Amino acid sequence: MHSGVDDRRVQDDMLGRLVAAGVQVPAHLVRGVLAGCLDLQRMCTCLRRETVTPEQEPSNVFMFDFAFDSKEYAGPGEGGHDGTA
Amino acid sequence: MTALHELTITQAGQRLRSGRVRATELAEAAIARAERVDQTVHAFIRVTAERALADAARADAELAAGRDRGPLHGIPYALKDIYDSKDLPTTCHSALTAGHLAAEDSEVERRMKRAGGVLLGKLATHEFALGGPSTDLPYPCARNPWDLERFTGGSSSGCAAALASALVPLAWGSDTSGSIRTPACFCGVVGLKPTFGLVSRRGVFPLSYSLDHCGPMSRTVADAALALEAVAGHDPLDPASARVLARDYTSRLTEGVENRRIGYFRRWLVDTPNVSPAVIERVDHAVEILAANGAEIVEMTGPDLELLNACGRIIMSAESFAIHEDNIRNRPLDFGRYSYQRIAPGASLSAADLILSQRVRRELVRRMEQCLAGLDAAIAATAPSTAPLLSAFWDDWEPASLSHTIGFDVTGHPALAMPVGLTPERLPVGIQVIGHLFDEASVFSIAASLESFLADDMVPSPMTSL
Repeated sequence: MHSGVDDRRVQDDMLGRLVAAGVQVPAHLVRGVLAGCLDLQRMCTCLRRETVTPEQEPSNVFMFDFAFDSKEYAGPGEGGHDGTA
Repeated sequence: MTALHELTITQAGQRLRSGRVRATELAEAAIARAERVDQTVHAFIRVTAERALADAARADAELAAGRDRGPLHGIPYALKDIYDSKDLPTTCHSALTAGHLAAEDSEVERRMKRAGGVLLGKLATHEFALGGPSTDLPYPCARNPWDLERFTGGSSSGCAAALASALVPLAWGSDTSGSIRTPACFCGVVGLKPTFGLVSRRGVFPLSYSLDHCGPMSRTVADAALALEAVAGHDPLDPASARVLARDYTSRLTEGVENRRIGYFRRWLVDTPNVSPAVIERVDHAVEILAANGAEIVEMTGPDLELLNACGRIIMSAESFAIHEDNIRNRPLDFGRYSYQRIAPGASLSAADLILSQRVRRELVRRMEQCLAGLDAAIAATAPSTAPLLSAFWDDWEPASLSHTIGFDVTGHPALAMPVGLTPERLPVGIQVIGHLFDEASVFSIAASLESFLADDMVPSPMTSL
């Protein structure tokens, strides 16, 4: 089992976060949920080691730039495949 | 002569067009086989026999009248049961969806109908495409046709089990962190996670909005290419759909690999704790075969695997909690144990955690593009081990080891999982062929070449002969 699951202070912290989010974990499911929470915290720590640059700010919700290939852009009226052909 | 259930899509199509078989015969054989074999494999949640026979009769009538809808005309297929098909239940393998009937077809289903496919039924999954193999759900979990006591991988568990036991030649799965590729690997079949945005997700129950991909699963690379050709392309009603043209994915399948530059993420595999030596041996062997046939192999360290996992897991946890928030709060006991234990932790994440993961995601996309620059494609192991025993899963859910698949959900690159042989215990080992964004044609081309080079190493699962 994941390290920290049996630590009362860690349990209280994690379950407190869940309660604040409106989640009351049934008693028989607590251990697996705590293991998941601790794993996510470990992953957050991993991300925080990264240096993010201003260019990586996520404000442009109108374009996933990696999902579009400008060479093949075929929007309405440009001969694109609209799924109905 | 090859039995009907063992035919690939190409082979079945040839027989249909030459009049040696009718779509109705293919459907009847598939229904009879599902009734017999699926009692032990549990790939299907629902076999839609009546509808399949009606669709097949229509396909036969059209062919007789000279209307040929293309390579999928008259071909049986099945859908992971998170895809909507009008008037059928979409269970998501969950008690929480009881009574739900789909009002419309998912876009994939609509295009499959347009292509003349014959829907054979809906396939088992992990609950809401996330949970795990569980005994506390309304339907049994699918079993691995190579060893019924082993895990299929998930969450497109029924898709892989149905293909490996030759119940259907084509299934549609979904992949958020590896849910097409891992079961393809453990069950020895082919599965494609296309480029993000290439295949519509409309009408497919979401797990994680910005990571979900729909893709085909099959027994051969060529069959997956045919399926993608029929379904890929822009869907204006899927907000994540890319405005790209569907391409020709089949004409380069016999191109070979001579002078192709192919990267190999070998360090990801050998640096994994407890990696199976037999998996390293089979994956290395596949790469050596590519080199022996003229490919230039470039070993790469790649973006950090732990960082790719962290980024993907945080986004998936936050988004899946947002999707299931009401039921996690109000109906916790209606979830299976694993699903609840995997979704509820998302509530412990902060807004800052999610924003940071989105920022890091952009950087990881850039790094992956850098890695792939100058290459035709890349190879990575699909999983560092073979299928584990199901008995390992019946306790509380525990965090998994590092995924070798989630990175390409994070960066959006296409990744095709394919088998490359068996371990001495006769369990499948698989690799991923990774391509540039929207360059599935190169992925299929290299994968089909490797498939032909390894043909002597590949055998069907023991369930195929039943």
